[in-house]
Amino acid sequence: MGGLNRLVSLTIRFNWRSKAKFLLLAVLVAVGMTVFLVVMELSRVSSEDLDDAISEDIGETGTYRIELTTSFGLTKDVLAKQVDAAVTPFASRPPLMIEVLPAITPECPPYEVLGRQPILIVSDSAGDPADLPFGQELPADTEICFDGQEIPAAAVYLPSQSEQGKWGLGLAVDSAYREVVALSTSQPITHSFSVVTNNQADQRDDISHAVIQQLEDTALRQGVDIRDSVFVFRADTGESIRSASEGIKLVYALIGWGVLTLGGLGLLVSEMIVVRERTWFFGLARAVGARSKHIAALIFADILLVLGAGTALALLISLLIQPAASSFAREAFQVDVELLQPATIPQLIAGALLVLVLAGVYPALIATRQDPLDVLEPRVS
Amino acid sequence: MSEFAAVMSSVTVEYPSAHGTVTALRNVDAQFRRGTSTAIVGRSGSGKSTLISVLSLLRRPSSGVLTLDGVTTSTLSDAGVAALRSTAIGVVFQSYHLDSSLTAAENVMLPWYFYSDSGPRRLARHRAAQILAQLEIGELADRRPSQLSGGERQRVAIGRALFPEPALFVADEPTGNLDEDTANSVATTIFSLPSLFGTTVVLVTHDSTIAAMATSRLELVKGELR
Repeated sequence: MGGLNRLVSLTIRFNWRSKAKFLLLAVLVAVGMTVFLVVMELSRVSSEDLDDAISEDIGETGTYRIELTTSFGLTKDVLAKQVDAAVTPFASRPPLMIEVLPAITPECPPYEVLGRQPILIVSDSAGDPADLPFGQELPADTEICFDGQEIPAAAVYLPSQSEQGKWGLGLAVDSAYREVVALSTSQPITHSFSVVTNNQADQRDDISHAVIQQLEDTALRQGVDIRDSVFVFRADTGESIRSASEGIKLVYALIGWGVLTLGGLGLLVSEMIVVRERTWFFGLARAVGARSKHIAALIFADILLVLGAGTALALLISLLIQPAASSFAREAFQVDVELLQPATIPQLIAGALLVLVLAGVYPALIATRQDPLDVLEPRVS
Repeated sequence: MSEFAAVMSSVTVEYPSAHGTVTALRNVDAQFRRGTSTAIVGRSGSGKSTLISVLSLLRRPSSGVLTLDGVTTSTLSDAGVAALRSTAIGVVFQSYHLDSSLTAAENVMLPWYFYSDSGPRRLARHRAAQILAQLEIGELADRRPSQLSGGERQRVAIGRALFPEPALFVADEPTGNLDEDTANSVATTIFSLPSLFGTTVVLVTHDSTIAAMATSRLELVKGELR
């Protein structure tokens, strides 16, 4: 460590001699890193909004609907626990349970707007009612009646398109009115489950297999053919739109990393000049006892100094332009931007390491392979 | 401790070239007793610089054995050679090779940057100042090379070679770039090193006047010692 300190102090002396060059390189690195931060933030902001919109319209990545044609003689709560246990290895969060009451006409006369609709009672895996925005999304002037009894609009919710993909078509009703709704139909209640894996790969077979395995014994006892009772559907569709979103992220990432790579190449060229300028010094250093690792350390210390100064400058620039960037982004795109995102810092460090390797390895190899005799006394007498 | 700072036994150095193998040194046997000075003379191409490069461990012999400060160098790894070079050898070239961003004292203590067992900076700086004082340029310690004359620069280079307290001080035409008076003055300094620092001096020169100042003189003819 002490030896490294000495080499760093020597490198500082060298750079002090070439202050203008050092400053220019630090500015080059700072500009590259600032552009990287800006591009990464643009990527985050645009793709976040796009991903939200996609999730809103076509559902989260890896959303599945499990439809059970029978309850296998189990109570609602036991059935929910069995399915929860089956899908836990795949699910990113506990599944929702949807009790599906067969299609009825839920509207009060004259029945003009909603038509026949299955009724959905949505609850979490613990059996508690799901927190839905009841009272919203219902067409204006619509009145709901079950079994001749009027139900307040605040107890009903018409699911969005993506929710209907996850839960199945129907009208969601507050579980407090479950018994009233049940009186409206003589058909058996079926159950669906909504599972989100956040995995792009198609896991329908895996989920189906897991649920079948979990309920197989129960089905056998009930004399039910399990394979005709469990159906798994993928609810998130529109892969092309999702791919487009990934493509946008890729383009931004390419621009960001491309800028950093260009900065690294700029440093590489500069370091090659430094090696050429200091050829005699490296030869002399070898003559007074320096080993290859010392010469390589001098090169890397040189780049680290520039990187350190450049990174500090980039952080300073980012802090200084943050207010203007926020104001511009809010006015132009109605989004909040934050250039120094915690998630971006590791990427910035990775980028700095990329630049270090890109700019350091080859010049270090060149410098350590020099024969001190060739650079100090190129003649033989 | 061996009575010899360096011993060369049947040292041969060969180079590959476009016209076949060139033999720069042929079966050279030489012993350099501690505290003495030796001048190596010879015509251009006689192998003088090759001999210096072998003695300063910058080149390994093709065959033969070199023993430095009691260590047989042929069995050393590259790291071992570098370590021995940093502690047992001081080299001075015809060009001064001083770094313009460092002061005279910092140039003298250059080996300190690469040898981690050489103590704190404060001590290294003190030792560099002492060496410069003994070389009679102590007042120039804080000057940069551009502020020094040719003779002063070569003295700084000599100081740098002496910094690790080497058993062997080798110099390749150290007065080649200097006028006659300055050359004599620098040569006098170099030949006073055995008495001043107890080091052993081996110096290559074309100049017979300077060669005459050494305790002993060896002549190289076509790679062989006479």
